[in-house]
Amino acid sequence: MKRDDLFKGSPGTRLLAMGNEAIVRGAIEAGVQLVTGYPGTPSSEIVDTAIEAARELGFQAYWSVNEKVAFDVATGAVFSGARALVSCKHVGINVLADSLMQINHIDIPGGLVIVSVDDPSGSSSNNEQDNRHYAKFAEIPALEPSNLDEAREMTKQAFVISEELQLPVLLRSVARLSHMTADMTLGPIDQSRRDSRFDGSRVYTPFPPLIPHRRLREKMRRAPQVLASYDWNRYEGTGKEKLGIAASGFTYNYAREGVDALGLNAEVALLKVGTPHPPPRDLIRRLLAHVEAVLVLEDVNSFLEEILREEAHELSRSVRILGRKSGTLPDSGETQIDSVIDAVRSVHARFSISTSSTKTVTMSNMSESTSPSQREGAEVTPALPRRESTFCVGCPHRATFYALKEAMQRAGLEDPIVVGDIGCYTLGFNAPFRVLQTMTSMGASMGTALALAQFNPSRQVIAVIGDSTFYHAGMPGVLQISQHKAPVLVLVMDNSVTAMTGQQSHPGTWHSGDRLSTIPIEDIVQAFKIPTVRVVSSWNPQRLSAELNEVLKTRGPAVVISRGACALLPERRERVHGTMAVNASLCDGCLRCIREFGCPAFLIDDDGSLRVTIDETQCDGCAACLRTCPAGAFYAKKSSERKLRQFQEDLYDRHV
Amino acid sequence: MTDMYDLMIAGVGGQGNLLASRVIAHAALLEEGLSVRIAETYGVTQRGGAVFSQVRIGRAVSGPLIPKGQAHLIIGLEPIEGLRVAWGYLRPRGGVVLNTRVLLPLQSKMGEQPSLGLAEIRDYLRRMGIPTLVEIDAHRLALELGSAAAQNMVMVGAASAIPGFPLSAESLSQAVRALSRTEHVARNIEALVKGRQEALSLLIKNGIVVGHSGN
Repeated sequence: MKRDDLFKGSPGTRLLAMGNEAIVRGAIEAGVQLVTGYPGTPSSEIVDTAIEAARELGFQAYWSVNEKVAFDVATGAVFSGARALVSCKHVGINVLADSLMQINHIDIPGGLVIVSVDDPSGSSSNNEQDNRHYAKFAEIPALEPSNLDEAREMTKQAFVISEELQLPVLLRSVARLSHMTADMTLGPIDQSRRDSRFDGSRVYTPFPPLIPHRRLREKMRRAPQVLASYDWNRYEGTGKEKLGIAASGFTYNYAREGVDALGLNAEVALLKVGTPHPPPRDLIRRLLAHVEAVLVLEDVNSFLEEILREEAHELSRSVRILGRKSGTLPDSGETQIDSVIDAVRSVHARFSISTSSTKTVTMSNMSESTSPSQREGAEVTPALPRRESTFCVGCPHRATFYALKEAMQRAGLEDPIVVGDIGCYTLGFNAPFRVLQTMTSMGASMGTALALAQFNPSRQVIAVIGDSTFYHAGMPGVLQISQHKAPVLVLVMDNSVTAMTGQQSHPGTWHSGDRLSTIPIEDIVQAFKIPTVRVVSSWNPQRLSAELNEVLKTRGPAVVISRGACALLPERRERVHGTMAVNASLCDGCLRCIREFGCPAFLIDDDGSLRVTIDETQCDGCAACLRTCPAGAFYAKKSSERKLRQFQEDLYDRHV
Repeated sequence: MTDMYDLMIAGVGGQGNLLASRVIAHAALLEEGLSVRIAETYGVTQRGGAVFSQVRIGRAVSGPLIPKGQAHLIIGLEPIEGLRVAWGYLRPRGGVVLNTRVLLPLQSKMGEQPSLGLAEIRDYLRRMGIPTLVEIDAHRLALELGSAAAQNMVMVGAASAIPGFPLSAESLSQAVRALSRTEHVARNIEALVKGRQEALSLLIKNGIVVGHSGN
C-alpha cells in the first residue's frame, strides 16, 4: 500500500503508522542507502515498506535469499561507506550471527543498523528468544524503543551512533511494537548526499583478531558516553519512593499504565530503559539508592533484572529485585497488562508503608471492571471450539497434502516418516492432514531427513519443504542427500512466493521482466545430480498422487515439485466465485470431504442430514476438490464453466 | 467522552478485521484528533485462524493492550470469536455487535471440537448480562450491496450506532474514503450506512436510548 505521507511527509506531520513503518521512516530520515533482509513475522513490513519507499526515493531495497546473505550484502554497502539497514525476526539474527561476530571486529566506514524484531510468546514463531543478549554477546549497542516516535528516532540516530563508534547498532523491537498501529509525528529528512565508494587503501578483515577485539572493547567502554546525549533512558521519581519499577523497551507503557490506573504515582518511581546495552548504570544506581524493592518489566528474559541485581550487589544495598527470575512475573511469554497490574498491586501490598490510613488500591476508572470470565458466580463457561490456522480457500498446499496422503496410503508404506519445515505448508501439522512429524529451523528438513533415513532404513522418509525455504536453507541439505544417495523423497511445495509473510519474491518467483533472473528449483536439483526430478501441477491431486506413487517405487533420492500459485497472489484475485457445488441428491453426509480435504468453503447443512454445500462467497474455483467425493457429488456449475476453463488454463500447467 | 474507549474486533482470518480497525483508527486520529492504539498480530493468524484487534481511542492512550474487563465494545465479525472475546474482555455494561453468520472451525465440522450455533451463542451472551447486544446479518446486507467482502464495513457501521461510540458517522466515511481501494469506496460507504441504519432500528425497537455524541 503506497505511503506517500510516510515516505515524503514533512517534519511535524502526525499520521497513523505501524511500528515497522516508523522504523522505515527513521531510516529514510537518516538517508539510508540500502535496506535488505529476509521475510519473517513480525518484521516483514520493514523491507516491504522500504521497497515501496525506494521506488519513490531512489535508494536500494530488496529481499535477500536468507538473513546471512542479507547481512553480507549490507556489509558490502557499508564497506563502500554507505548507510545500510538489515531487518529480520529474532531467529534471523541466529542465521546472520556468524557474519555479525566478525563485522564487530572491523572499523566499519558506513552506518550499519541491524533491526531484530523479536516475538515474545512466539505467536508466529517456533521459539522465544531475547536478542538483547546478542548485543551483549556481539559487544554492540542495543536500542529498544517504547513507542512509534522512539522507533523512528532511534532508527535514525542508530546510524549516527554506528558511524561515531564504527560499530553496528542493534535496534531491538518486539512484535507488540512492530505490529502496533498508532499515531506518530514525523521528523526531518537528512538530504545530504553520501558519497559511497570502497576505499581500497585499507583492508576490511578482523584477522588476526586480538587487537581488533581490544579495540571493540574500547569502543564499548566509550559507548555509554555517546548514548548519554539521548533521552531514551529516564528516571521518574523524587528520591523518596520505597518502590520502583524498571521497564525495558516497550514494557514501559505497561509500567506507566499500571501505576496510573492504581493511583500510585506518588509512591512508585519509574526507570525507563531504552538502551539495554550498555545499560544506564548511573540511573539504575540512582533508583536503587532509595527503594526497597524494584519490579522489573521486560520481554522475554531476565536481562535487565540481572543487571539490577548486579548493581544492587555493587551498592551493597539489600533491595529486592523482583521479576521473571524471582518468580514475581511469569518466566516466559510476553508481558501482559493484566499481569503487570496484578504484580504492581501485590508488590505494593508487600512493601508499602501506609502513612495515614490503609488505602485499598483499586483501579480508579475501573471500579467494577471484571470480564464475565473473571466473575465468580452463575455464569457457565462457554464451550468454545479451538480455531486452528488452516490453508486459505484455494491454497495449492491443501491439494498437495491431500495427494500426498492418498499416495502414501496407496503405496502401502510401512510407518513412513514425514519431515516438515517452515512456511505456509507447516499447516500440514494441523487438521485435517496432520501428516507432518518434525519441524525445527529453516531448511532443517533436509539434513534431518538424511539421518532419519539412515537410522530407520525400512521406513520411507518424505521431506516436505517450500520454495522460499528451499532457497533460504534447504539447498545444502538436498546437496548432501544427493551426495549420500539417500532414499529420501523431497516434496517441494512451490507456490511461487514467500507466502506466509506476505507473498514476497525469491529467486524462483515466476517473474516476467528482465531486471532479475529466475532460477527454477528443478534446474538446481538436477545440477545437484538428484536422479529423479518431477514437476507436477498442484491442481490435479489425482495426477500428483499417481506421480508420487511412481516416484516412491524408485530407490534413491527424488525431488517432486508440486507447483501452484498462492491463493493470495494478485493474479488470483480475479476469483471465479461460486464455481463449485454439491449435487445434494448424491451427497449422503459421509463428511469424507471435510475430513480428508477440509476446505473452509465446505459448509454442513444444519438440517440434521450432514449434507455438504459449498459457500459461494468463499469458493474461488480452484476445483481441486472435484474428485474428493467418493460419491462424485462435486461438480463445476454450468454457469461458471467457461470462466473456470479460462481460470484453469491460466493456472494449471502454466508453470510446469 | 471518557479518557479512553476500548473496543475489540474479533473475527476469522480473511474477514477484513485489519481494514475495520484501521478505518476506526483513521477516523479517530485524522478526523477527530484523538490518540489511538491498535494491537494486532499478523502472519499465521491470517490463515483462517482467529484474529483479534484491540483498538484504544482516547486523549491519553499508553499501551495497546486492553485489560480484562475493560472493553466497552466487542465487534464480532464472526459470532464464535465475538463470544470468545466478550467472555474474556467485556466490561459489565459493555456492548456487543454480533454478525449472525457462524463460521465453524474445521475441527468442529469434523466433530473433534464443540459446534456452536447462533442460538447458543446468543444464550451465553444473554447470561453474561450484556445490556446492549445487537445482531446484524452482515453477510446478507453485504451481498445486497454486491459483495460479501463488505461485511466488515457493515459491522463498523453498526458499531457506530452503539451508545457511547466516540466517533461520528462522517469521520468513519472519511476514513473509508481514505483507506479503501478506489473501486470499493462507494460500496464500503454504503455498507457503513446500511450497518448503522440496521443497528439504529434494532436499538430503537428495543428501547435503548440512541442520542449520543457524534450523532
